[in-house]
Amino acid sequence: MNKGISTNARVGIFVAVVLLLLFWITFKISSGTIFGRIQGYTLTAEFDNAQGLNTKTGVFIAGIKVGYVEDIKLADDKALVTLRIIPGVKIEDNAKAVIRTKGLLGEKYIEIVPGKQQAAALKPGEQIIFTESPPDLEELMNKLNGIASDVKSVTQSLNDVFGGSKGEKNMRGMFDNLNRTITHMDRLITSTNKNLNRTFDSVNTFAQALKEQGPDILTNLAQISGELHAIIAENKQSVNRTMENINQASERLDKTLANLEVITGNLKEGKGAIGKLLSDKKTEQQVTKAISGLSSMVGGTSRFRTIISYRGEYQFAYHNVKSYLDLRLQPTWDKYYLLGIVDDPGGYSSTSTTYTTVKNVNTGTVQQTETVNNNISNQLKINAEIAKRISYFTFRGGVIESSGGIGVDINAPNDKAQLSVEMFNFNEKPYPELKAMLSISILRYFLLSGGMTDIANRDVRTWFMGVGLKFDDQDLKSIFGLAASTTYVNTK
Amino acid sequence: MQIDIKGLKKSFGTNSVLNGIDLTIEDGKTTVIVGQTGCGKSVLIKHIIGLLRPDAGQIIVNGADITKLKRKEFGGILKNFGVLFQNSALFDSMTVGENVAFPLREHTGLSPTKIMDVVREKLAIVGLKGVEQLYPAELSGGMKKRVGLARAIALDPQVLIFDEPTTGLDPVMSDTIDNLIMNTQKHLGVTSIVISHDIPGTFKIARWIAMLYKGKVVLYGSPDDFRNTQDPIVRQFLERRAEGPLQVEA
Amino acid sequence: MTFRPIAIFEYIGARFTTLLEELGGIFSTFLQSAGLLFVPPFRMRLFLKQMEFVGVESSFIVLLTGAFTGMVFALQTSYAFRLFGAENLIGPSVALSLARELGPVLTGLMVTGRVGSAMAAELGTMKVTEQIDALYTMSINPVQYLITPRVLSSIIMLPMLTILFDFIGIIGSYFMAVFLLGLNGNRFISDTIYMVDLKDIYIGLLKAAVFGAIIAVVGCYKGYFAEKGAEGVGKAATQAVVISSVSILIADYFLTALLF
Repeated sequence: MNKGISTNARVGIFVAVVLLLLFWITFKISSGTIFGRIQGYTLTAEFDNAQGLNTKTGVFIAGIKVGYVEDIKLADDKALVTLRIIPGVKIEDNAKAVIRTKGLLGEKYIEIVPGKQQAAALKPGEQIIFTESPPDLEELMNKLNGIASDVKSVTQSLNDVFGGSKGEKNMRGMFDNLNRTITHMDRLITSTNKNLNRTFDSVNTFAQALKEQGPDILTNLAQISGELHAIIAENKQSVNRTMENINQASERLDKTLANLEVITGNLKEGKGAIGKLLSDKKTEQQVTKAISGLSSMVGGTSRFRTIISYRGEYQFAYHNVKSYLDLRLQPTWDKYYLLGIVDDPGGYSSTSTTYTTVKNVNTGTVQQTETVNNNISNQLKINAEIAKRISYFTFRGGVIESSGGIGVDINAPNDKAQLSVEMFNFNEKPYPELKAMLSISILRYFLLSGGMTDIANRDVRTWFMGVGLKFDDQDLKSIFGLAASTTYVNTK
Repeated sequence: MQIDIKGLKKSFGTNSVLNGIDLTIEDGKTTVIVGQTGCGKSVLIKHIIGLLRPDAGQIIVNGADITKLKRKEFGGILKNFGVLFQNSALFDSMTVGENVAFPLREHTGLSPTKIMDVVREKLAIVGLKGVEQLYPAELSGGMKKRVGLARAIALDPQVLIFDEPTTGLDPVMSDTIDNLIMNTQKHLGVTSIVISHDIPGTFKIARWIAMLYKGKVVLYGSPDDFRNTQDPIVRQFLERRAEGPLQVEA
Repeated sequence: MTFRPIAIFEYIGARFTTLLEELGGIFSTFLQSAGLLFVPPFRMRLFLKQMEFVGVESSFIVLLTGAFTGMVFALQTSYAFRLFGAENLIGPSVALSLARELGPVLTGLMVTGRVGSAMAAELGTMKVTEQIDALYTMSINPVQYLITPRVLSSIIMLPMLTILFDFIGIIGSYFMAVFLLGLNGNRFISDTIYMVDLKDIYIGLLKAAVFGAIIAVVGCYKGYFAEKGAEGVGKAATQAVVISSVSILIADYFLTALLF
């Protein structure tokens, strides 16, 4: 019997403790609500997509829980969500209900973005009109994918245009066109200028004439205007129509211009695909990079310099001009190959002795006469040299004027002047041909030179003076419209 | 309370246990049912107290066929029955006093003090005193039987059923229990049904004896009838011989 | 003896029939006991006794298991969540797991071991020693007297034990998280409270009630129909634990599927 009482007590205490715990847990979890049922009011909100929402999903304002989702129903292809809000929490009628996600993959919740404070508070049962459904993650991915492929295709086509040998060709063509256009424009402007000048002249003349014959003209003018007036009066209608037409035309023009303005504006603001592309910082950077890449490509060419020069040397002794046309291929600043043609009016001097045996019939004696022919053939000679530059000295050797030869050039610090000594044609004459020359670059493209050739052979040596032209590839580019760059920096 | 058993048949699966038992248990007398183990004695008893339903036949108590009663209606009949089980079937979780008081608590509106009085009285009838606070585990086999008997007679039943009351007891204790059965029967004037293998005890306590063999009553009569019978089955059983028509089932 | 292939099918059929019989028996035991709940007499004392046995006396083992489960769970989840820098999810995930699954299931399994086996053994012994028959002969419905209070008190006490389990488990995880893993205690609690719904807890308790019914009904059924002898009682107790445990896990699956 004693045990019975004790049983009752023990069970009673146990149950009481457990129920207290349960109440406490319930109280804690439902945060001050009774059995999870907030004594609040309900609001509704319509979402396009309530995916991830559940009943009891929290409703938050500024990160503080103010209620929960009480019910989710389908209403006209939209999700009608009933929210229960803690009493005392006011939600303005221009507030916005947004479905958000905790973290990237977290649970969904509803955030109420408060509206303006002055707005009226929603009454129980009313609807939050502004809602925002979460973008579907998959949809988002698809969009990103689309964007990525767009970008890819754009860069691909850019690459097609600018990259590769074809691209290079295109570029060159483009620059070519551009240059030609500029040249044309320049020419046009120049000629227009002439025309303008002429026009001004005419005007001047006219004004002069007017001055002189002013009164007469004025009278005439008055007469004319009178007549005009009459004519206009007569043809008022047609004039009006004309004016209208003009008006319309101008309006149309206006509109077109406006459109243009809009378009360019858009481009500037980055609207539209191209606009976006143009205004995008990244695109800009990439374009810059692409261009710099391009310029380095061009720069590569420029490092490999090609210099063409022509030089004419007036030889005082012979009163003739010896011409040199050289192609200098310079892969690096300290090394070049030179190929050249030399037109030497002196030509090869070849001596041939003709023995003529004349048999005198009368006397029967044989008489032999010796004739020495000194033939000078006007022949083109070739130059083919390898040059290596060390500091201010350039040593070169190879074929000089169709014979073996060596030479050394001494350059002035700024490369504007050069002293050359060369020696070639070791066999033909008593002494090898020795040539010393000083050349000076003038105005970038011009050369002046002077010196003496064939110094060692006293009877044939001569002073000379030369004038020449020299272009490198950059100059050629500008000349032939390959590059209009004005920022070209001449590198060594 | 007279019990008439007519043509009672019961089989479990293919095993036919009762093959048409016809037996009358006389009111106010002691009837001992004997027979081999497995002859159907316990099954017969279970039919009488409604634990089993017969396949065929009737058990008429007070003019009513109790085999037709529903389970709920059986409760009323059972209150007239007191059963002393073979192993006493005392509730281990209760003290001796609680065991005896149990039917009183369940079926009478007596106050606890009155119940305690009745418990003491019943325990006195079976010759026990001052054992109310003991638990069955603390009792000897004979004492358990007494307490079981005390519990069986607690509600003053009209029929007492003893299921092998002396099995597992020493001969002296067996005789004591036999005396107890006889005294109780005399004292209360109840109809007693005793299931037993104990031949001397049977002859001592029985007014009527029924012997079951193969699901049938082979002999029903007074102890003298049994002493004088020439039935080989009964003779073999009474003379405790292994040889004879009775076979121990393998 | 020649081998009969058909014997295999006979065996399977017999086992299946036994299984069905068993399920039918368990279910009818439950229905009987539940039905008898509303039939007088009402034995309050028996209910209280069973409540004490099932609830009060199981509380220690449940508190012990719950505390360690919470602690271990916090520790284990912290390894995983640290990888994502999501330590703030330790509290919620422990609490949610406890409330939804671990609380009811582990409580159920613990109580099965302690109470289910005891019920089977007790009723089995009563059966074997004819105490159940004795009850019957005393015109007392054994099912009402023995099974109904056990089933009812288990149904009531299991959820209560689960509350204890959940609570102590969360406290255990709190201690683990705050004192050993160095998380912010207030943050832990607020995250937990935010993430856990009352629904989670109440459904967990509902599960526990079902588990309570399973434990009691299976235990009582196995005991009530125990075979003769001490061996039968032992077998009944063992089978009760096995069947209850398996049934709890299976029921948990279906309940989870149905209720969440």
